Amino acid sequence: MGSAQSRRIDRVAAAGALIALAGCVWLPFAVSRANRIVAGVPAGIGSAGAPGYALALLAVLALVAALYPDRGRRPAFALASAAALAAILPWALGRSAVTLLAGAPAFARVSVGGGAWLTAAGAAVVWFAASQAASRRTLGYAAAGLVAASWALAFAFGGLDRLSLVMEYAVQRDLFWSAVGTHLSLVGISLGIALLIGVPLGVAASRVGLVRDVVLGVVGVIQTVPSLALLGLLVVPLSLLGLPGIGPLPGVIALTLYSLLPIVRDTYIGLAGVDPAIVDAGRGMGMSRLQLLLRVEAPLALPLMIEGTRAAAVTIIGIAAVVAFVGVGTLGVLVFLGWGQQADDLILLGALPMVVMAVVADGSLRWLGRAVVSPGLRGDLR
Amino acid sequence: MKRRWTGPLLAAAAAGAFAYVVSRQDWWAAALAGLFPSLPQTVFPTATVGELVIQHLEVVGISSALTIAIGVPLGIWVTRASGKDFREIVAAGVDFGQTFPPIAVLALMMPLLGFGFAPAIVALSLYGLFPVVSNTVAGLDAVPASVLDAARGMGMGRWRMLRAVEIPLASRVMMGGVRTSVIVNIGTATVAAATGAGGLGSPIFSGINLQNGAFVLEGAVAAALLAVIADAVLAQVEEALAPARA
Repeated sequence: MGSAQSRRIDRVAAAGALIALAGCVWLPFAVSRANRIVAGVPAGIGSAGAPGYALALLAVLALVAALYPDRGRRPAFALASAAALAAILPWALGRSAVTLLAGAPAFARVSVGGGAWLTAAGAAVVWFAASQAASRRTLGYAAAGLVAASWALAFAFGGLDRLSLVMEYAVQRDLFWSAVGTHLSLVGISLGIALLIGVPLGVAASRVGLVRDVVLGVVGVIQTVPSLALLGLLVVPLSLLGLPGIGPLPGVIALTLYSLLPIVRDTYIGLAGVDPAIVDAGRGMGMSRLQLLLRVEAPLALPLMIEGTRAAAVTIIGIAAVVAFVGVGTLGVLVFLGWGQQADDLILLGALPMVVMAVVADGSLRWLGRAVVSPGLRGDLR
Repeated sequence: MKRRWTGPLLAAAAAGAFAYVVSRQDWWAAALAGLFPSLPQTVFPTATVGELVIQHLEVVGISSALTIAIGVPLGIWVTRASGKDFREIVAAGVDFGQTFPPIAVLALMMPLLGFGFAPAIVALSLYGLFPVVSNTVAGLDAVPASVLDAARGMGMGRWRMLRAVEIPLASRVMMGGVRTSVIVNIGTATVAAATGAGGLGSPIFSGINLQNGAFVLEGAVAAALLAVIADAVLAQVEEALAPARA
């Protein structure tokens, strides 16, 4: 059955290759501007010279690989073309920037165009399809290493420093790193407070029905309120208490409130889901109620509590951007400055690290959640 | 099966009361003037609360309609034989997309599409897709194989099975995805006011810029009420779609 199926075309990889090809020939690959603010002039893949044409050729190769009958080598071939696409992309961007800026004044700049983004997305789809079909994972790791090395080299020698995003970073370096620091510390502090409040609330909810109904109801309603509105609603009560309605205080309060729902809910679900027979066994061993909670129930509920923390972290990394409106210097400051000046690359400079933070927090807490599953239970699942 | 009427009635009453309160601009003016006696101007001058709510619902309504029109068919397609190949990549994309901060999606759309109403619509409907697609797939997956077998045994074709059996059984879970998507949209649309999309974010931003707490509160109260009541109404719809049990 396997051979009959694998001889069909790989439709996912074919779609990815077509997306990459569309990125190469259809949308502007790069956009040049005479200065930071004026409307851009789109430039095609030709501005990237040889690396640009190599991208288009590789997209065609990936398409051929996806459509050609599989005799066992297709995944490796498709993976190699996706990796080559990803590895050559920064060199094409760098060459495009150098070409378009030749003879232009110092404040002219070149931004990454929609075509380059689309090519990257298409390469990612081909990569995904090929690694699903591949029998061994080593090839994928090797390809990823190659791509990372190529990007590092392109930053050092490939003219990427002429890209608007990189120039924007060079100008805003201090603001950027202080925004990253503020963003992370705001999220960290709020998450810490939310755990200190949320875990006991979750424990109480698993013990008393009334507490469960009230607490889950209230945190559920808070979660629905738009973040900007919640910040606005905090202004008046805080100023009535003589506290600042603007600044880190309302920011921390808002982020803590938004973190509560996932943490309380998952702590509750985790504790409520513990098998009563296990609790009984602990009781039979003469454990006190506190011992039962700390040594039996909490370890079993821990994976879900970490899942709640993960959901909270991913949510508030985004909301921390909105907090910039009440005068806290998070990454939102860069996004909103960019919106105000219609400076696209300043927006990207604020938004991209947020995405990276969310993806890293998501991946690492998912990993931690799996790692703390009790070995006995893991045996059960297999 | 007995249906409970208190929930739907309460949600409808809350929605009606909200619509009425929002239409009484004089109440807002009086309340805000009373709360902020020292401010020279206490009501957002550009539009009434009612107009802002309608603007907001326009943005959310159009983007949610687009989301449903794309997300539900996409979710159905990847569970059919013809779209099975794409199931893994769509699931991975949806998982990845849900870790994106909504503000980042909004922010990343601006360089590609420019500023104003239309880019905000595109960003909101794109971000709204993730819960709709994942719940559509989850709902259809949860239909028991025995039920499908019975339907097949009754001689139903694939199309009729989807329409008469699978979608009705999955509709509650699908609606859960729509609810999440709409509520997130209402929140993100508030922030989208900063990009020129209009709506209830405008008085909040204007109030922050002018250091006018009354404008901020006007927009914040209306936006919070809108989100909470929309959630309550959609929760009732979700409840009503629960398949009847014998």
